[in-house]
Amino acid sequence: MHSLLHRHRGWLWPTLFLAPGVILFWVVIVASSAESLRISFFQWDGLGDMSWVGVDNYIALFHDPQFYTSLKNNIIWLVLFMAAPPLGLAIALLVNQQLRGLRLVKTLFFMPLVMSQVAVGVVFTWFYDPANGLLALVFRAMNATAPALLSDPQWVTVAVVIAGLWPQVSFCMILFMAGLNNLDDSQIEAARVDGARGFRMLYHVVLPQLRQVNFIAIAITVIGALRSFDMVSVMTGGGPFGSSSVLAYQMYEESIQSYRFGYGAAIAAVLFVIMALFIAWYLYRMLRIERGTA
Amino acid sequence: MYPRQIGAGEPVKKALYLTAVTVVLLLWLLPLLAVLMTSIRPGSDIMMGNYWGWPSSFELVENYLGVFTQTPMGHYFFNSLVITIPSVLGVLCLSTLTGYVLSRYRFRGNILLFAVFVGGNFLPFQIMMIPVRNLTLALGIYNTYLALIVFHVAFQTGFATLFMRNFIAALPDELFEAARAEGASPLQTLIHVVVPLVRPALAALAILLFTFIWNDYFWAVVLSPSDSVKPVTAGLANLMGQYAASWDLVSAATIVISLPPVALFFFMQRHFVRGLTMGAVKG
Amino acid sequence: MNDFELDRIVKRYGQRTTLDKISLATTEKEFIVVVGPSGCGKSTLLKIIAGLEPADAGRVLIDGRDVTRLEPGDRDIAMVFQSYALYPHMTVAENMGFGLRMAGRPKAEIREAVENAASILQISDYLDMRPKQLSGGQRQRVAIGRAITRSPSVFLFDEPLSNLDAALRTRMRIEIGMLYRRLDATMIYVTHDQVEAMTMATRIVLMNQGGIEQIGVPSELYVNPVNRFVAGFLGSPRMNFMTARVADVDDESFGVSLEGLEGVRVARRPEARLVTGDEITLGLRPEDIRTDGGGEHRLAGQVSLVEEPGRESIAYIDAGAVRASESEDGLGHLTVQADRRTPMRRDDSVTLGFDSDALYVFDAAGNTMTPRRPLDTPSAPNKAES
Repeated sequence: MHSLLHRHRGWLWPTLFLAPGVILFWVVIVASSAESLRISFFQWDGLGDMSWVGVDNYIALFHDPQFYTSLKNNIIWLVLFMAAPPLGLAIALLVNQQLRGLRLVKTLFFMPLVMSQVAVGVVFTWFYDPANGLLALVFRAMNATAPALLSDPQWVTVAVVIAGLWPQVSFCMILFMAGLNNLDDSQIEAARVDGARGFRMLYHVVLPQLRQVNFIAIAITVIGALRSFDMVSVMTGGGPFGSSSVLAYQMYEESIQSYRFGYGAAIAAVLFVIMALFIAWYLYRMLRIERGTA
Repeated sequence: MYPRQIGAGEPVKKALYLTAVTVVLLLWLLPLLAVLMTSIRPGSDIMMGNYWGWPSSFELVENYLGVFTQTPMGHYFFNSLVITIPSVLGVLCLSTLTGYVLSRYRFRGNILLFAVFVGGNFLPFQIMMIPVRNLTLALGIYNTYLALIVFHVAFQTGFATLFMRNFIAALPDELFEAARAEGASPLQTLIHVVVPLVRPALAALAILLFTFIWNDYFWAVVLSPSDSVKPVTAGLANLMGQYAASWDLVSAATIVISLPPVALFFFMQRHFVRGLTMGAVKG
Repeated sequence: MNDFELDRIVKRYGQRTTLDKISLATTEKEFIVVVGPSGCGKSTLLKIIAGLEPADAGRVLIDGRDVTRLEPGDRDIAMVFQSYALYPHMTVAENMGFGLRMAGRPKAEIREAVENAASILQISDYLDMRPKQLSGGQRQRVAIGRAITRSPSVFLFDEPLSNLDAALRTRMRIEIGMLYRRLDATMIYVTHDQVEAMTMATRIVLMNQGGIEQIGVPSELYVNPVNRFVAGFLGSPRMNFMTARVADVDDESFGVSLEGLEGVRVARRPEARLVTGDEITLGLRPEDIRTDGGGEHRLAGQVSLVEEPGRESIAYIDAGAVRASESEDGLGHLTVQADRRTPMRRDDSVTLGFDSDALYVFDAAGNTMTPRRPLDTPSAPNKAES
């Protein structure tokens, strides 16, 4: 037995090492995701028998006005979230100084990222509170009445997205700060000798070196926007009347609260396709960098 | 605009700069400051509509004690620890193994396996929600700690594998060649070479994972709906519904549930930032 | 029985053949130095011997045992790496005892082996330190010590001195040489440094583009290079090469036609196939050119640059029509190594002289056409040291 192990240890050990992680990840994550795609072709209440309905769930979905509201909201999330990388870069540039005491300042800027999204949701619900929130106070100071943002179908999504942007900007800021730390000083110095300053320095010398960071920041921001669930759930529960729902939240509601698992799976499938396009692009870029051809 | 470094001989500029940064920071943290303020004022202030004025008295101790005595937050807090700590340890073990193999062994399918780990990590949770819920039901662990632990370990292994693989791949080849030349088996190499060398990476990863898992809300709602196993995130969401008028309590609870990750972050900031930005910055 | 043997080792990376049928055998615990320009395949060869890279064909034998398919740890080898590859988390003693510990040897035995190796290398005082606390030279010793504790029958060295400064390099070179005489083991030592090769080796394996150009004792390679590559690779400053043609051929010698140099005749190997008009390359070592007015053949020239590294001076001389191809200064000037007592200055006019015996002749394919020389000629190998 020992000699057998010894002779085959070249591949036996690595296989044993890989097995637990790979199996767990495949069963729980990969296989589950595939199974969802299958469930989306059935009608199912989560308990009884599943009955095959073909693409009926998808047809129903494409006739569901709530689906379009959710999709539209996801797009609003995506578009507004794109403000996170530039804002993060701006704050990173602001605090990019070697001064005493600035470390604490930087740490405090990261705070929203470390808090849970639920906590951020609570913080902003309180902030937006039309009677007593800080926002209301600001409006009152200007002799105006504060809008009830979270119960106004027209503004509710924007209000939630702004709350979501808070930790996202922190995230981008961390990435850019690390990127700025890693800049090639000799390039900056050379550019300074050549007389570059301010915006020209940023555009021609600094940003080109931050390409990789930029890519990651945008990737993480896109994923964050498409994954938005916690904030919606905590701040509005998708309301009023589903007007702030997103695909992730609608899917959860349909399945867990209305027991329409097949229908929920179909929504998840649509979300998956949108995300898959993006993941494919990301993996393509990552592997290209891996092979050193980027 | 790429700012120049402020030199030591420019005290006025420095003072102006620090003032500006502080103002921006205060604006940035305004929503959080509001919650902090609310968490230390008495409930009567809120009844009276004194939300933003000077507190009539400081009720820091009362409010924070109240979180634990008047609400089940203490129990949720315990649940969160029971879920988070074993999950973090599990992921650290699994990802050290997978990261080691994927970074140090060349075999067909290596890149594919790696891509699945990375890609799976980006999947929307909803695409796996129903089958994962069914799986925990079938295993009889639905609505237990174990359901959340199993899911978190599985899911975070994706990200952690990316992390550990990149870290181990950046270690010098010769250390591993030397181990082989000295006759160390893969298991011995793992124990005597890999584990000691990746310790700093494990520290960074542990903090990240703790934050991710502690802050999870979605799976808490899906897999552990009952109060007995609910973690703090789901607990706080409940609290907001039940104690809608007691903003002093809700605010204090918000601060309480944020404390563990924030404290970890404060004490091990370097690890945290390095963890989050690994891979993002090189290349 | 051969104590070490390589039998037609082949390695390919995709379409490229990195090693092409490399064979080598040693019988009496030799110190083999594998030397060659970067990319010649010498490091790959070492990794194949160690078992860190699989060979695509061929066999590796150690003490008559075929180890081609064995793990590195089972081959009875030990390796010293360029970067030392010490484990930062282990003390010096733990680093040195690592191999024995992995093999599950008793603690007492490990300690004895470590202490023994440490005393040989004079690092007994550092055993409880970590690599980070040591200097480069000390780390190098620890790396060698780690190899010694395993008492292997073959030691492999992968450019072990290239990270050390010049003074330390000389010292470690001497120590490794002494170590070799003390240990009963074969040493395979890869380097790109010809001084290390010339001074340490019992035999040199000179590699180029995945193949072996020549194997032999150092002085043999220096005095009797089989081809132009070997002649140009060993020796510093490099041999001067001049392109010429064959003027006429007889049984024992042939005439050289080179503008600016009349009446040169050199001896030829019996097997050399040369006909009148063939293109040839003349080779002349810088130390074989005289500046004292002596020599069978004379050339008038002007000094273009003088370097004085210390013991001798090196002059680059513009010899008019006689131009060196691939010259050191890139200008076609002849390199001359002269005694410091013969002062030369820039723009001085000099008369260069040499004997036709000192000339090497290579044919168009680069093979040596001049006959073998006895090894005790004035071109002693120690002159290659710089």
